[in-house]
Amino acid sequence: MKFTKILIANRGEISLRIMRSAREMGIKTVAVYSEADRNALHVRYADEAILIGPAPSQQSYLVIDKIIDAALKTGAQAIHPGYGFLSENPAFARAVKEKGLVLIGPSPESMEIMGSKLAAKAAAKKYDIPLVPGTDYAISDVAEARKVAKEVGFPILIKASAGGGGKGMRIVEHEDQFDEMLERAVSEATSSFGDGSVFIERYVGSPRHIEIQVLGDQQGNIVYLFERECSIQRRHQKVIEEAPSSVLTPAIREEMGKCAVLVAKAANYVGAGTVEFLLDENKNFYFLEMNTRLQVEHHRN
Amino acid sequence: MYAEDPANDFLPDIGKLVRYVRPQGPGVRVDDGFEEGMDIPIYYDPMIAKLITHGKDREEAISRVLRAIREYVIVGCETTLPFCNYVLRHDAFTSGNFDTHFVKHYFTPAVLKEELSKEEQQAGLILSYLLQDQSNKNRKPVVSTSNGTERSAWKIRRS
Repeated sequence: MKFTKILIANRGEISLRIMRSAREMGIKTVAVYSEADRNALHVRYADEAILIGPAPSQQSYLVIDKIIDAALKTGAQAIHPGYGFLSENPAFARAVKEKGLVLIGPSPESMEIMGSKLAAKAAAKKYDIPLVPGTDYAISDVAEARKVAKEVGFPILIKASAGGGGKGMRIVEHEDQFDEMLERAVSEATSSFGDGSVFIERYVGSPRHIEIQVLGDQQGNIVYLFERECSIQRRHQKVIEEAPSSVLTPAIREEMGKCAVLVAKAANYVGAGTVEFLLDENKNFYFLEMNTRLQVEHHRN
Repeated sequence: MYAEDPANDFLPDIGKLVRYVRPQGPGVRVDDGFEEGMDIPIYYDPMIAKLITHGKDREEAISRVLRAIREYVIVGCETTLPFCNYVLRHDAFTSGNFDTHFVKHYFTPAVLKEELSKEEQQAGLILSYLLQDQSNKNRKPVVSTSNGTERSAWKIRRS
């Protein structure tokens, strides 16, 4: 199916970037905008623009019905979600499909698999994709935990399964500290989250964050478009990225690329996506997660 | 590039883009959604632009992005550019020997102040040169003593 008109459910630079590509392809564009964005550039650039509500995104860019109504009203055949907002929302992807429109991106099922950390890891495991060594189930028995820790190898990280934001996390350097640290982690997890179960993972001391750009078509073909080095971060968000990474060898690069393709295959992935890996100081890489959308930094590749 | 204050824990620093001039030239690409005179709304992600440079090798790409950062004129809000400028010239970055703990290991707001004071010193030197020049009644055209590598337009704020 060749689209003649698409709606871009986003704002700012990404909205413009998609519209420019569409214009080069001879496709008409529809912008949506909030009251705060009346004079925004994406509104001026689009062939048509539809006001979808007040400034807060919960009342405009995040309202599924308003976006779909705008597409139906203007006769757009497809919706490009960009990044952020509704781009990784399976309910949105499903609603778009139900109205007979096409979402330019992955299926709701792909979003669901990769949106759940446990489901994503289980999918990756099926293809023997390397994961940070450790447990993918919660442990509350001390003897079992010690056995797992020994297998994984010290230093290890004890993580509260209900935790987040660094709470309930303990680094254990040596085996002889293990019992005491586990006890503390369990009691911290119990008092903070009401759930004392923990995961055990190998502690990666000097991690680099490297991700692979993938693209999938609707015939099941998936390719990788090499890596982005994203280790320079503030508040867990990337600020400087480079490609190629200065530390990957051609052999590791190819191996990571193949793994990224397998991860995408495990989710029957269609469209542009990113597979994130952690690289340790010995250049072992481990699958972290997959972003099921066009990424901010896609041009780097 | 985000409208954030690196000296204040990278908190959003939104405002009106009183002056906004994009860098240009070989190997430089800017993708943004703003023009001079526009407000950066408080409601959304504070990203202003993506500044992308490429070169024949890593050194060229880095020197280009440093050049582009110097050319970028933004008046009206603090941005992450001074932070990027610091990172891109840091030994850990240029040697490639860094990890996700870069900010924790090497960055404090004080390092930005150091850069600023270097710049102020240089401005002082230029001024004294100009004054001396005048007192000597030297009519030759004055060329800035700046080597052009330190002076950065993005340091000017809320003119």
